[in-house]
Amino acid sequence: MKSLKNFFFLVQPSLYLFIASFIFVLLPNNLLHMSPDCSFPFIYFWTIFKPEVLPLFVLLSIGIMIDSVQGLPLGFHSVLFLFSSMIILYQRNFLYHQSFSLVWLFFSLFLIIYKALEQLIFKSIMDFPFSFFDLVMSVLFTIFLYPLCSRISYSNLKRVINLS
Amino acid sequence: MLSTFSSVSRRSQAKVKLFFSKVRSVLFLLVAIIIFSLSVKYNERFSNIQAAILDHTRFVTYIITSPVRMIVGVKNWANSYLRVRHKNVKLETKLKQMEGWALKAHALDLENQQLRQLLKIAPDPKLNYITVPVLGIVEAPYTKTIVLGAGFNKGIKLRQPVVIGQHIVGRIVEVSEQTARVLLIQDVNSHVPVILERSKIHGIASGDSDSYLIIRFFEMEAKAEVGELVFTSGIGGIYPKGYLIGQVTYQKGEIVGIKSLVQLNDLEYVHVFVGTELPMENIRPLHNGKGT
Repeated sequence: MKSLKNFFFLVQPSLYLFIASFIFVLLPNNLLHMSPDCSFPFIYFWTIFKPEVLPLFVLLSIGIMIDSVQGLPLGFHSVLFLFSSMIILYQRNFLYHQSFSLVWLFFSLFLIIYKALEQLIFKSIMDFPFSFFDLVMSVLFTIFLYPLCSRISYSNLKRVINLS
Repeated sequence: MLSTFSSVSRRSQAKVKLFFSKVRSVLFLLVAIIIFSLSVKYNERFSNIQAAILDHTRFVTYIITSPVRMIVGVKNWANSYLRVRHKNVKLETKLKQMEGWALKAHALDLENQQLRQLLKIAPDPKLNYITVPVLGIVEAPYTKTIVLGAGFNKGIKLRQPVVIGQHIVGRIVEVSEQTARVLLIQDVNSHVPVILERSKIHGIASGDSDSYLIIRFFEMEAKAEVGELVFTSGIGGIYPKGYLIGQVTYQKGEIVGIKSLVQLNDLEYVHVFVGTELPMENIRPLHNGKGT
């Protein structure tokens, strides 16, 4: 029973990412394009503080699952998730010991790179009308969402660190 | 001396661990890039793998979209009770109107048949359809599709049009053994040849980034009236002629916006036209940026 509980705590980051990736289905259609990216804050947080509990194969498979559900070319979200995870991982040593406000500031920078890459790949594969306003709104909403996601994840972090 | 050695050893171990974690992340990224490139480049050959994944994730789609279905269900249930009397009056009026139209349609049908006989016009090919349950409506930021609970097993093939009543819903872009994906007409990659009800002007209706469709006319300075209905023209051979696309809601310069009259969230079943021979080009515009 205890091991099952421990297992649940260890898979919680993956579960958060899974749920966050599919939150878009609950959003109204006219707000979808400026909706926040709910998955990126979790990838950012866990890659900095405990990358082992958000393994790379989870990022790959959740990405493929999102593409399959949305009807996008397979691997699109996996590339985005893994690329962002990789660049965050390279800055992990620096970010790990910083204050929350600095981590949040760097989150904004990484988010802009993430969103730019997303738009770039989209433009290369399909004819999608680009809206700068929607993109800015989406980035702003995601930046404001980070403290909440961070708070949810932080409540788990200590437990996860103790367990692993 | 020994403690210094062990601390150096621990530090070097940590460095090696970090190096391997970075190598692993690069390798995984490469795998994802390869999958993505294959999916985009060898779209048709890759569709079997994609179809297999679609088959296995149909329950995920069903579960994921279930909260939306539940919310819509509760809303409809509450509305139906709150508006029973109002709806009854409205339906009675509509019924009387429909009875009049049915008589008129019957008379026109007879006249049409007689005129066709006189002009020796070949009859329209009969369209066979099957009724298929909707597993989930996926309105993501960049795609608008629905997943159906039937696939090859029921004779569904790529490009077949999907309708509900006299309204066009979309067309099949992905099929597996037990599921199929429909690209909605509201998707930006959907392009449907249309004709306006009154002015009879031809154009192409494409999805916009929001829930509207935009018409691009073949003629310069073409004008549409607000409230005018828009039908499929049958050009291109994918969508049958005379099915409803929507209603003109606005015109801003050359841009005409139309709203589909299909309530997507209420869709439980749709009709798929099976057994029709369809043109081969542009199977899945989603990946190559071209439309039909």
